[in-house]
Amino acid sequence: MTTVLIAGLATGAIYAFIALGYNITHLASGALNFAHANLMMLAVFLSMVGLKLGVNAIIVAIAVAIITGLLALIEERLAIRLLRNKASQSELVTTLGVASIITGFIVLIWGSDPLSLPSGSWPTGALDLPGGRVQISDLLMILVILIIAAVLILISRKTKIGISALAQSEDREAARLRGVDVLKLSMFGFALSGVVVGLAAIPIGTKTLAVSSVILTLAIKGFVALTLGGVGSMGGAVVGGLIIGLLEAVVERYVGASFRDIIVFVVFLAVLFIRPQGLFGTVRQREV
Amino acid sequence: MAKIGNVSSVANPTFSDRFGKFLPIVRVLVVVVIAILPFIGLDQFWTRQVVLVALMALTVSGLSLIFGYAGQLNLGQPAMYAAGAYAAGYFSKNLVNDLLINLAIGILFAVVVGVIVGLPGLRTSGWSLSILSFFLVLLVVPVVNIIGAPIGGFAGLTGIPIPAQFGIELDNNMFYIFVVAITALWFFLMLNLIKSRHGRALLVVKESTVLASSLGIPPFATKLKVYAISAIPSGIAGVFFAYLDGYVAPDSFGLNLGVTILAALVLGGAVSVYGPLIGAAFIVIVPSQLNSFDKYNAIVYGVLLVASGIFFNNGIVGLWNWLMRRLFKSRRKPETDLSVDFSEVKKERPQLEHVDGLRLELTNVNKRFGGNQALKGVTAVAEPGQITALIGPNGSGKTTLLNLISGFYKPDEGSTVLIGGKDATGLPVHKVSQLGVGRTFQTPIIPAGLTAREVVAAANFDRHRSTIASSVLHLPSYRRARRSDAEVDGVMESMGLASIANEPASSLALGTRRMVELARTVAGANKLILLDEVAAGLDEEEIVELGIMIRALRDSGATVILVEHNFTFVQELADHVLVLAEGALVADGAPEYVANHPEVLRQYLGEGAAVTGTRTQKSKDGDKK
Repeated sequence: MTTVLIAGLATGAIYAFIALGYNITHLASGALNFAHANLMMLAVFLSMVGLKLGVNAIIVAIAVAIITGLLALIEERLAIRLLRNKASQSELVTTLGVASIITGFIVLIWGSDPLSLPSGSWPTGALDLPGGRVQISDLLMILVILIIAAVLILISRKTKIGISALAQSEDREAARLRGVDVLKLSMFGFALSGVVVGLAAIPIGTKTLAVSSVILTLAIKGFVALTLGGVGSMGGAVVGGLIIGLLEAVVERYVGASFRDIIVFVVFLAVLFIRPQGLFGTVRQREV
Repeated sequence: MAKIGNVSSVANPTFSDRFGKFLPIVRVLVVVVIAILPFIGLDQFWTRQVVLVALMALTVSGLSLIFGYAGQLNLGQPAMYAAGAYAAGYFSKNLVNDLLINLAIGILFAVVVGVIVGLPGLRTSGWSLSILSFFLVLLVVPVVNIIGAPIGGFAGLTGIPIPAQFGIELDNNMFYIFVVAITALWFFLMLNLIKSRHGRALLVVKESTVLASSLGIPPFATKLKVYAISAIPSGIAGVFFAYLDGYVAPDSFGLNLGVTILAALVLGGAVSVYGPLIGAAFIVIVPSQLNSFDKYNAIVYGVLLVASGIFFNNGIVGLWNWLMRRLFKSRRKPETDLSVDFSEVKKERPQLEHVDGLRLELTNVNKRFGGNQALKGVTAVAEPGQITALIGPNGSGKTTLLNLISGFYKPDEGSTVLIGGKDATGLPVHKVSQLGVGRTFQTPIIPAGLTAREVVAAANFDRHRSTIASSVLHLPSYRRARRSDAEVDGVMESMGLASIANEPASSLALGTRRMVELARTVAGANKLILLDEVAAGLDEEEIVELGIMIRALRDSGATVILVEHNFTFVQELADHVLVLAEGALVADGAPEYVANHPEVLRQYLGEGAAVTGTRTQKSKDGDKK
């Protein structure tokens, strides 16, 4: 049982991590970045390349964080800032386009078979706990993601830029009038989301392997985690991700692998019908 | 600001004005020519390419309806396509091999899947719907696997028979003719739908559900219908797909197909009937002519999606329209901030069709937002054939009261709103509108992508009802609704707006937008009209024109309620004035009475103040009651 739970929590932590990324760009620019999971997988591939060259893991993490941060900035420029028609969900189309471009390049360069990160780049091995054997790498990855979540919660609540982002997400126009530079904020949000995926790429890649086929599943389940937790809530994203991961692992173990996606879909439907604002979200007043 | 004079009733004829009458014949000819191609030498390869283009065009047209027209990014087309394909495959193999029957079955299954995505999507924003529809596509493989043997599971469904109709097997060429004919039929029906009031209703819902419901268009029901309708072509395509190779595999319906469909749509043009055809032709034929395109298609489609947001407006069709505008309108570049010079508009009061105005009775209307009591026991009456002005300082509850009458807010317990004797307390907005209530908004809501004429004509949605079916098939009730659209031109002419009728409404200056909004209210032949600060931001000439139109509305018998800050304007126009302060009614009576009411002077104009207001010209036609 412990084995199933920890494996579920580890998968859930990745969903939570994606959901956190969605939250960052949503709070900072009001846009949903469909390409976030793709950027994360690109960071895993880049880390793999760096590690294979024998570069120190910490340097790899920093270098990849800088690259993905810059790529996210370019994405913000092309897919968000330059949009002609701000209305009618154009950013969904353009960020989906960026997602497709990133996946296309990954497959073109590295092919579509799963590749693993070089051994020794991240602690591996198993640990015998009461109730079963668990992977040390899973435990450490959960820890890394929880630390990142804690830092993001602090940023969003305590720093000026975090509070500006909250204000922007409530009412963009009012925030602008109170002197929030929404353009800079949007750039900062995207850059931060890129840096974060770069930093966590090694532990995550150890779990997921470097492979393009899981990107869309991660992107979608990350969004379910976001919806379950409540859009805009960092803590909610973490809780939502972990719940989904646990649920999936339990259903896969005791019902069948074909049902693991279906149960998440059912949860998604249930949330949309029963509590569309999510566990920790707030309901908006109708605006006329 | 570019001023255009009042040239003629139809300035700037468009391409379709000139050549429109030939279009139906041209369309039929094109379809016939395509249908006979295999008999005049089109080889096997290209025959198959045409079929593949048709299948792609069908699914893309479904996305065009739901995304281009209704603004819902539903990427679930592959799932609906799969539903159609598996249904047709299973039924033709096991029950009945009849192409038309299986088309009906395939459509039914696709529509059920489409509605499953639609229902929860109605409750939430665009993101959730898109992800939900993406998720649905992800479920195709596990669901097929769970159903297992009957539909082939992972391995795919094999042994689908050669299509037959009425027991006669169809050879390749006959199947080809079926595909072309049914695809053409779908596109003709879609064209009729788009050109009807339902097509316009979709565009209004896309831009603003607030506006849609205030025009009597129920947003939820409209969206749900379009979810169902947009699944039809995907279902048709699925059925053809099953028959095409006699084999259906679950991995034919992946998310890559969803991205391809979206890329074809943005390339061809999302808000167009021709766009899906053109986009599908490109996306099917170009890769088939290039070696190793497969390696790069994700990147190319991705670039197309990003480019669609940055560079092109409505794809190839948008480019074509732009070109035609340049060729046929010559000289004048499209301008922003177009406005009409009302000093050149003739100043006679138009005779509007008589309506039986609806008496508005408010009894003890209360509304509390959290700790803020926005309305306190308002009891008042507005009579038909009168202009009732509602005045008061900022925050006194004027707009809250209007929103409450039109149904955007629910009043608190114990309040009663009677419209024309009917209890309208707490009715949803589109129901209130359907009683004959029209309104304008403080900030005019003018959907982008519609011309000024279309914005005005949107008011006709529930005036002359015609169902989707009769619009699509051009039945008599549709023709009646069509005639009433002609009245729209009359209204625009009489308000001096004819010269901008064909301009994109979003390019108009604020004052002109207000007049377009007013024209929309006039064209709706409403019986109770709520005008929210219509004079704000207008210049003197525009205010004169506005006054003329408001009086014309009153004389037509309608009940007119005017929320206004400009007291001079109110004094000139109103028959009856209601004064609100801090949510309560402080005075109720004729303008002269209210102007000298001590409480009004104290509350509204300040201690010791005299009644003044922004000077406007005295009405020129000397009509003051």
